[in-house]
Amino acid sequence: MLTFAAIIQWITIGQKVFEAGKPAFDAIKSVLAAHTIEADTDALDKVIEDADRRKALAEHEAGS
Amino acid sequence: MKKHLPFAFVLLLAAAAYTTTITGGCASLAGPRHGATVTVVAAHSTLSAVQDTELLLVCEKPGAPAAPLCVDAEKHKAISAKLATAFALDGDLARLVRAVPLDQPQPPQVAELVARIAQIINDVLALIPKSQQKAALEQNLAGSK
Repeated sequence: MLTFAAIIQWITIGQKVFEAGKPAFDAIKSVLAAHTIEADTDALDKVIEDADRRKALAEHEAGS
Repeated sequence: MKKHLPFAFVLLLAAAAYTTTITGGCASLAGPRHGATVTVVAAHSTLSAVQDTELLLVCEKPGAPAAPLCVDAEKHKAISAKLATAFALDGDLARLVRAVPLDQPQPPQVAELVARIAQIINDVLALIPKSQQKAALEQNLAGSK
């Protein structure tokens, strides 16, 4: 049986994970909503920039 | 490892199916590149969510679960090396899609890169110990489909 504390802990964990992933999922929604060539190009540019940044972060973490 | 295969596979399959079917209407407005762009953004978003969540689970970081549920230093390095490869492929995928002329179909390398990224997501998820955070991540990703 879930205690009140366990329920609160679950909500806190879920919120943290949701917040971590939210910007990325918001990006999908904006691309789906825009339907324009410019929005697609902008989204691809952002992915390229963010992928390079995240690759560098992962390389740093792999070497730390 | 097998347990995680359907999850990321289904996720990326859904993105691919979305590309070829549901966005058909969008493609007529924005060109064939639109569907591929949605796939690129979906793959990048999935990888980003996995990286952000894994960083929260590293042992001794504030808020991380206690061992054995946290990601120890050795696994964290292994996961990070895989994620570095995945983000390199992710960048290549986005550059490839961006480079194709708007009225041209996407080259087969797009599907190949997506499949390689999906495999790395499977591998990374298999390395993360079971925890409430991991379950929340999987639920979050499944909800984004």
